Amino acid sequence: MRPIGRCAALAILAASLGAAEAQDRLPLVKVVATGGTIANTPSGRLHAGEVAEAIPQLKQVARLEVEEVMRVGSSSIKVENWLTLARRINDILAREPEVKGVVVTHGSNTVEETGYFLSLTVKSDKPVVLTAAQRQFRTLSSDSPKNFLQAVRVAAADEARGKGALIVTNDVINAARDVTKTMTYRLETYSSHDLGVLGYVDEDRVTFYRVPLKPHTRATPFDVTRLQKLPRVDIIYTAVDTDGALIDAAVAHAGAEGLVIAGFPTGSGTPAMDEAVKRVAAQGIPVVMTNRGGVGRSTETAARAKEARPLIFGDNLTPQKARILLMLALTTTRDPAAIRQIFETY
Amino acid sequence: MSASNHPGEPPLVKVLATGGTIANTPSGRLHAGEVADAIPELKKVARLEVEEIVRVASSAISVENWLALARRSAEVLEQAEVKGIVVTHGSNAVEETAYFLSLTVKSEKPVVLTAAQRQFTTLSSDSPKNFLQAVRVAASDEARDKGALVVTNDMIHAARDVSKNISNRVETYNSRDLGALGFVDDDRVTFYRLPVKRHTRAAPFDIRRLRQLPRVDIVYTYAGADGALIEAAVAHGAAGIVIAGFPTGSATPVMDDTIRKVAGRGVPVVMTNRGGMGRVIDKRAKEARPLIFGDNLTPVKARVLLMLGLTTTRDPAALQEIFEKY
Repeated sequence: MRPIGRCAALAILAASLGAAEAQDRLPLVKVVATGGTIANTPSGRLHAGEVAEAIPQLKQVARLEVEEVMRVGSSSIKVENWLTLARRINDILAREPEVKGVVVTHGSNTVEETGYFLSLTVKSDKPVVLTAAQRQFRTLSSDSPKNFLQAVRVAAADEARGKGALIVTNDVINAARDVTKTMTYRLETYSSHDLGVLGYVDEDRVTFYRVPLKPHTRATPFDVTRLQKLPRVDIIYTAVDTDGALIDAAVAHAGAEGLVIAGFPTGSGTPAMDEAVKRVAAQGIPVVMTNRGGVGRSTETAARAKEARPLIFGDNLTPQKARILLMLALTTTRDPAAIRQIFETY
Repeated sequence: MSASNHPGEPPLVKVLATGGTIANTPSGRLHAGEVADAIPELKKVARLEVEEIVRVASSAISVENWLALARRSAEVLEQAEVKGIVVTHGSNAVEETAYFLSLTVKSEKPVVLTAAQRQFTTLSSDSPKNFLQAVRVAASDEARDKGALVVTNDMIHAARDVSKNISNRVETYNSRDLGALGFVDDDRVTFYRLPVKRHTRAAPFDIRRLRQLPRVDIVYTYAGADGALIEAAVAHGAAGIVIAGFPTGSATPVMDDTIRKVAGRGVPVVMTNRGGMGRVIDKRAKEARPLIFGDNLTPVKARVLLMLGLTTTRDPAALQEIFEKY
């Protein structure tokens, strides 16, 4: 190899100085890592900082600060972790004005739950973007590095402000409230069903086409600053001929303070479940009805309104999203009418 | 093909009615025969015989109803003249009843289930057209030997794969990425796909002498869920459990511990994906979790298969094989 001439060396120096200055001008994005496939390899879980270091494109779009809150698969995420995460993000966004947005790296299975929880509890207009992956980092055609990059780009975008928590994977932006992981392992697993995506993350820019209407973040009344845990809410699944045994057990033995029914799509349990719902509702346990099929609003039907079932209807929330809203609602009220109002609002 | 005793007349289709929105009105539930009489188009495509098994909403369908329906379907289909069966049903659980029939009715003749989202006699009701399209499919040669079918909204779905997704809209039934088997258009019934999973005569389940099925409960998975409902289900006599798991086929660590306990007591536990799409496989093989993997079945379909599987075996390996075949 020929020695590099003086001019060429100066040019490289100037270019790298220019790059450093350019890097200084890039927005600061904080990565709050929780683990998940996106930072996992066949030989074990990595610190998200190691993952970030291995994606040089990240440095072209943001200055990153990576901090690890926990390092687990998303099946191990607990309510306590949510509280820690929400508090830490509120802290960052309140105390570090330079931070443009936050990226949460997360396991794929429950990122929709954590996403909705943060959307209801983070008190800031700044972007909170969650991402996850289906294929481990460093495995064949892994989606981890690109999802990481796209999430950071969205967190750094002005357009992402004031839209509630966002889930960015597979080059699309979904609203935390509406997205759900549908498929076991494929990359297009996240879907907001008939509500669709909010926007795209293309090579040239981040583009939004939709704004979510349901209030979120600063417009919610939920304050988790001082909470160590949330009221227990269990989900009860509905199938042909299901009885009330698990409803009774959830309340009597497990201490549930509220229940979510993953009901038949039109918003009902079986007659035996209806009886159990009446029993527990009479004890002051709020029961929220949702659709096990996951699409469309659950409402009282004209045909059954006269039965005056003691139900709160869960709008179009999936059972696991309704559980989060009910847990948070129960920190503010136990009045069914007030909870009903909450389910119509968020 | 069965020979018609009425040359020149349309084929004989038997309607086994169970109730549901398709035969409901704002002033109460009708006999399905009354509904059929109010749809003159039906007479042009089939000779109908309507028989009511039960008249309820599908949320009130019971396992006993399934057994009665499967037995009656088998009897009716043995009648040479009957070309096919239509089961009118409530919309909420038609996918469960359909898969049950697909696994238990031993005939190649079409078994077509239909349902509606809008009550008969209400504005733009889908009831009459769904009824008509189901009868047309049941009367068609092409519908033979495809397992039970669910026909609504001009589409034909395989019983195993369809689920009701949307609370109230007419396009609510969906087989997700596997898609519809075919269409029901004005001119004809057209199939584009054949289901590969075994059904009807190729399934080993014989319910003729059964009065009840083993209890199987579904337990839903969510962040931080513990094992309380799994324990409660077994305490209430569940002979098997289906976990509506996280999409990649896992429960929480605490649920895993409880699953180990109940599996150790001989209660089979089937893992499914709460998200409803894609096969669940063992991604954590070295942990040797005592799970049966539910393929791409939704939790409610896996429950049907496990209830039937348990009438033939309690051996987890044999059950796993059943979950790979049907």
